[in-house]
Amino acid sequence: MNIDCSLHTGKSHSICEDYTRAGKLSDDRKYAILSDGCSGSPDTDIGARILVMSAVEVLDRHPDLVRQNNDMFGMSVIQIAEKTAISMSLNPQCLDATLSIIVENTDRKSVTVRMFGDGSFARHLDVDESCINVSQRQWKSGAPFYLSYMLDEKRYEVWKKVTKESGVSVRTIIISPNDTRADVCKWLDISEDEDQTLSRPKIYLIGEEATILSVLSDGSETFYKTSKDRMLEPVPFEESLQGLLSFKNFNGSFVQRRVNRHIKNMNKDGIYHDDDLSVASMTLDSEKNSGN
Amino acid sequence: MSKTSNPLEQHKLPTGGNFGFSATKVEDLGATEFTLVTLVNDVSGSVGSYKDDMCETNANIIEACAKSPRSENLMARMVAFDTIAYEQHGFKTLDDCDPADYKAGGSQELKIGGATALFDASVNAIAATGAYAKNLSDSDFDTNAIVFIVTDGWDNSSSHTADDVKKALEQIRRDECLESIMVVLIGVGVDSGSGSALDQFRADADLTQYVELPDASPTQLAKLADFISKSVSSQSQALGTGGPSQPLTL
Repeated sequence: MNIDCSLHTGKSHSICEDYTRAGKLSDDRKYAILSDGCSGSPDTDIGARILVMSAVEVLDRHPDLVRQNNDMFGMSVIQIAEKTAISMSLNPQCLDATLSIIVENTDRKSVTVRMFGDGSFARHLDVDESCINVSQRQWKSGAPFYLSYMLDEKRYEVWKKVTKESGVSVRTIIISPNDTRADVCKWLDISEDEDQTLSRPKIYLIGEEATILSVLSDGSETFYKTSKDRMLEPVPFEESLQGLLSFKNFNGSFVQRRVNRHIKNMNKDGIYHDDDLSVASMTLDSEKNSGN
Repeated sequence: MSKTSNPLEQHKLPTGGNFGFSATKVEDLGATEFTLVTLVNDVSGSVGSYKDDMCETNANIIEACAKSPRSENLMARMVAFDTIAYEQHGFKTLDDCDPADYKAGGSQELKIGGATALFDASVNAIAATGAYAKNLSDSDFDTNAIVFIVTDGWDNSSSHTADDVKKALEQIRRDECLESIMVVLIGVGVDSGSGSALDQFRADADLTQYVELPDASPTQLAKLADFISKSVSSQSQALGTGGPSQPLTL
């Protein structure tokens, strides 16, 4: 089992407001986490970091909370994060950031994935190594769920109202690293209940249901090419996923190598990612392990 | 006692020749990028009088590289040449290199004797760097390289020519697997005739730099170790900039 993550500042950003971290908890369980700070809120570059470190603390102190099908994990994380932010004289709105987590469970036989907010979740399927199943979630209002809304009832109510009016969409994309073909499903509007379900824990058995799990911030959806008439042409998301997730090997910094190379190749063709980009992955197959 | 190393894999070279190169398996590597460092040592008979000091120099270079902030991103290979060229050891990470092995009496001690196959060794060092860089690049590792060729005289034993060295370098540049490569030719205690010939070799083969040490005294060899380790560090820091580092002065 190996973990790694990669972080890149978007072309339109002077400070990276994503943060990602891969490491080991005190009992040696591995984790890979990312957070995408909201550009419209203050100091979210710091907030994203606080949120990730708070999540690590909760994973460490309450190992089984993350896999419980309730709000306890999210509440614990955001409450610790709020205290930290206030102690640093920061506005708690700095915590307006998504949080996506992959963590090894205490049974050492399974992994939990939780995503609070937008972005994508990818599974390299072990039934067919060349197949990657990606789930993408978008809030049509452009305002994804942040755990920080749970700290302020008024903000939470406003966000719920806006989300109810505009809706949430999900879609599945099936790609193959060795093939340019991709199966892109249509966007599917989902209900509020279904949306809540998406934030619930998903458990994957090691060595049985997937070989690699990855979470990606929505910066992965913002690769653009500047056309001759200076218009920004978006690169199809499935093409970006193919480049970002076609790992060549799984030792050491395997995510950084792949993402670095993809960005370099894209830049050669005049293609840049506009928003900050982070990718965090965990390999679940013992064949794809390392001494990390 | 030698360190326990990852096993090295044998590779053939597209340029052919009597030997290829060996290197750590790509799947055993963990970093994102590497600077490939090759030390090519002249071990012809004339080096015999200062062989132990050259061994000490190699040990000091390896030790300095291992202490570099970029040590995790360095891989070293050692080639020697007398009448023929041969590999002392293949590309391996600094973790797998023990400076003590390079000293007199160690497993990487230089063995003296024979003539000077300067061009054969140069072709192998450059071609092996290019071939391994391609393997690394295919696996998403970014690489650049620096090759040091240390000699005390002119070639008198090669099957290759200076033009072959140039072709090997041109091939690397065409392949674009390396972000940049520097080849530094170092003359140690050479007379003016050999010095001029070596400088001409630099120009003919389009090597990056030719530098000379007036003699092989311990003081001069210490300067050499310092020059090589600083050049390695500088080239490694240049990785990601798109070009080579600025050549340093000896």
